[in-house]
Amino acid sequence: MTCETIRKELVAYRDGELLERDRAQIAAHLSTCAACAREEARLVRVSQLLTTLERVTPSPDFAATFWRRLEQEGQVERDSWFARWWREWLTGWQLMPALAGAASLLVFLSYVLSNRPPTTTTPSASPSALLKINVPAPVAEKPGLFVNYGIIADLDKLAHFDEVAALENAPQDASTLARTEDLPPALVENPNLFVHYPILEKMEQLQNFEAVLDLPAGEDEQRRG
Amino acid sequence: MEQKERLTPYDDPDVQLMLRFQTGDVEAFQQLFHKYSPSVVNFAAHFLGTRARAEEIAQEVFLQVYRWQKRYEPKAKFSTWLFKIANNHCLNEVRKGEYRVPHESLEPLVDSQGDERERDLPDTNPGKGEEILAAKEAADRIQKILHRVPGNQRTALMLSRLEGMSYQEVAEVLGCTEKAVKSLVFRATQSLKEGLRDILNDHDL
Repeated sequence: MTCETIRKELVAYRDGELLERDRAQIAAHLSTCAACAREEARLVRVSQLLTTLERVTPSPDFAATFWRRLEQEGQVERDSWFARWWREWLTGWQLMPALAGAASLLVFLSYVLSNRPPTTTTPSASPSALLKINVPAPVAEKPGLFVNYGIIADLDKLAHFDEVAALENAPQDASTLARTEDLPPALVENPNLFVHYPILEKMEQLQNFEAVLDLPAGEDEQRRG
Repeated sequence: MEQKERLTPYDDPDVQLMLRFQTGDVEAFQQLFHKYSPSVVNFAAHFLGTRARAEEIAQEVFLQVYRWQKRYEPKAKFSTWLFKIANNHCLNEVRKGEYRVPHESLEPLVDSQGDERERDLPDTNPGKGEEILAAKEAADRIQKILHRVPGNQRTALMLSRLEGMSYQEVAEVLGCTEKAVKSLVFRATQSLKEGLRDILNDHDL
C-alpha cells in the first residue's frame, strides 16, 4: 500500500474497524514510515481533543416536562396523580427537592393533625382489609416511620380523612413484610426513602383508596385498563 | 471490515424493554427514557449547537417512541433505532434554516437558583489554568468545526466518538453502508484536523 492509501485507512485503523489482514499491513507500514506515523499521531491527538467536548446533560426538570407534554398530548391514559408522581419520581432528577418538600409538608401536617379534635366517624373498611400491603422491614421495626397515610389523603380529600386515618394505629403483621427484591431498586440503594415508601405502597394498594377519592363510577375501571 | 458475530435485535435487552412497553408496561418505557435521554440530549445539543432546543428535540424523540409503541418492530438494536429518530429530528430542525448562524455557545446553564452548572469537562486538573483554557478553546473550536461539516458527517463522527457506536451501528442509524460510514468519519476527522492544525502543530507533530 502507498502512503496515500494508508492515510485514508488510518481513521478506521484507529477505530478498530479494519479486517485483520489490512490492520496488520498498516501496522507494519507505520513501524517503518515516520511521515505516516506522524499522521497517526495527529489523529490520536484529534481524538483526544474531541474528549474535551462538554457532555451536555438534561436540565433538572427535563423528565417532568416530558411527562407533562405527554399528558397534554393525551398519550398517557388517565391515571391517578399518585401514578404520575411515582413515574416522575422514578425518572426524575427532581427527586431530592421533592423529598425535601414532602418532608417539610409532613412535619407541618403532623403538627396540625396532632391537634385535631377526636372524631366518631367509623372507618368504611376493616383494618385487616386495609393492611394487605407489603411493609419494608425497616419500617416495620420502627413504626414511627409510618407516616400517617391520612396526611396524604387529607391533601386530596379532606372530607374523608377519618376513613383512612384509622390506619395510623393498625397493628403490623410480620408475614406481610416485603423482600428486598420486591422493592424498587432506588429504594434499596437509598434506604432513607423508606420513610416515604409506605405512603406510596398504601396509596397504591389501599382497597378503599378510590372510594376515598370519590371517583365517578366507571372511571376506576377505565384507569385500570 | 472485521466480521463480527451478528446478534439478533431480540438479544438486545433494550429491545426487550421496548417490547414490554408495547404490551403496556410503561415502566419499561421509563427505564429506556432514563437510560437514553442524557445521550439523546447530548447528541442533539452538539448536532444543533443549542442546548435549549436540544432538550425540546430530545423530548420530541421520546414522544415519538411513545406514540410508535404499537408499530414498533425490532429490526436493529434499540439504540440505533432511537438515534435514527433523533438524527431525523435534528436534520429536520436544521432544514428549517434556524441554525445557519454558527453555533451558539453550549456554556453552562444558569439554573433556577441562579447558580451556574459546571461544564462536564473531562479530567482536567483545576490547578492547571492554562490547560483548562486550552481545553475550553479546543472544545469551542471543535464545536464550530462540527457545525460546519455536512450533517451526515457530523452524525457519523458524533455517534462513533461520543456514543461509542461501531461503524455498523452508525450505518444502521444513517441507513447507509459501513463503507460509507468509514468515508464520512474519515472526512469529518480530516475537517477537524485541518481546523485544529495550529493546536496539533503546537504539539510538535
